[in-house]
Amino acid sequence: MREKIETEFKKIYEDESDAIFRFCFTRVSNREQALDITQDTFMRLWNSMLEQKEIINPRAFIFTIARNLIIDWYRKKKSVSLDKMMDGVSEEIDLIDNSAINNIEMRAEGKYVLDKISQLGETYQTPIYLRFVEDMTPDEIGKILNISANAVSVRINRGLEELRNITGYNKQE
Amino acid sequence: MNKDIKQINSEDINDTVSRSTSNGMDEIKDEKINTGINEIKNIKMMDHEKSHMLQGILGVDAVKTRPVRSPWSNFSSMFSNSPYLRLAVYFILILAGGGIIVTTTNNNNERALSPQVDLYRSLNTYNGGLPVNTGENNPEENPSEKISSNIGNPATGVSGTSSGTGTTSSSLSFSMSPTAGIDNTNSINYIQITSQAFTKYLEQEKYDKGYILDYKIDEIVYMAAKKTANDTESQWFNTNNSNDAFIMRINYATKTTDTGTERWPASKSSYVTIDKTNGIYTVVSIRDNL
Repeated sequence: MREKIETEFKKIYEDESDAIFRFCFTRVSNREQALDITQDTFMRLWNSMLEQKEIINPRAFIFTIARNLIIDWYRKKKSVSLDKMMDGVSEEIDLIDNSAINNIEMRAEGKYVLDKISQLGETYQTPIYLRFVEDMTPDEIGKILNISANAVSVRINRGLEELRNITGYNKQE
Repeated sequence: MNKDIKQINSEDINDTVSRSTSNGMDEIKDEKINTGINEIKNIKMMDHEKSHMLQGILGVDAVKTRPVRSPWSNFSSMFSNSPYLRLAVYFILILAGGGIIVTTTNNNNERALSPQVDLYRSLNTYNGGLPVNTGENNPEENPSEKISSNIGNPATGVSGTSSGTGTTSSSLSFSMSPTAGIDNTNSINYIQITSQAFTKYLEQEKYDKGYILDYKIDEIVYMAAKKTANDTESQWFNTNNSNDAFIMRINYATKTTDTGTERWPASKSSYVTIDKTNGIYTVVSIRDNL
């Protein structure tokens, strides 16, 4: 039984570990932290599988875990502004960390796109990233973000339009 | 490269619910974005990181998460594990609750859980319309039923049977007052009748007003007889008057909610007119002076 679970887990790990690591790495400040969150994510998947919990969509499952772990990490890391709290201004969690972009070793185009995606609001960041970087369907994204596939489609299109405005491509001939 | 560009635009079209203005020119202009996305896709773990992480995960058995134990769990498990203990506690609670009710009932005259202060009213204040304020030593039944009305004419020396309650002093005086028109041999009848009638009066007062806790009669002195209770004072000392109405001086004291029950207040002296109505001797007036 355990061997069967292990085989199944290894397949998921082989398919998704890089995606999860990438998802984390673009959002946290350093590689080691991204590795920690990735390991924690798969550890939880492993535990769930050993406890024989029913996992309908493993991909959506691990991305949901990873996203929640990143949000937890942000909450612990970022100090809450007392002035903003007094003003009743809610502090939106910026999922893609600008400082992380500079730490990532990749070519200028990649940093450029990541920087532009990070300029989108949190509402559009994750749907755009998951749709075009991780090639997820709106249905899968909806499960991760706990919204409908329809809402995801709307966010993707609006986000894409905003991304074009930011990059200036829609103004060019 | 072209494949990536095509992929984004074709899926974009499929996903669109509310599509904004996108045209064929954008496909070429998004090339830089697609190049950047491919760059992002190349972010991967190193092989040794990947294998090391996998070994670390597979080497761990399932970590079963346990709920946080409540500090009350020991207390509650004690009850859930021992039905006899639970029954015993219920039994104690029932007994204690019953005890409280019995205690309050006894203390507050069957008005369970009501504050005791509600039972007392100042002598000089309105009763508040309490139905029957049952103070200490205050009988609940109507005192008029407790004192027999069968009292004979004191002038003829025929005294009827009677019974009464209340506190009367053992040193009740039978002294005669030097007034006219009374046979000394009948004075004791007047005093007995007066004692019973005035006791009845005080019992009624206790019953009606509620703030009288107890009473005592120290002395009863014969003053005069008169024809009727409505006779003028000048007629009182007429020897030819009937003995059916007479006036007595009574020294008595009452304990009230103002004075408390610990000690008797000073006795007061009042002139009490007693008349026979329908064969019953009753107090018809009480005056401080003649």
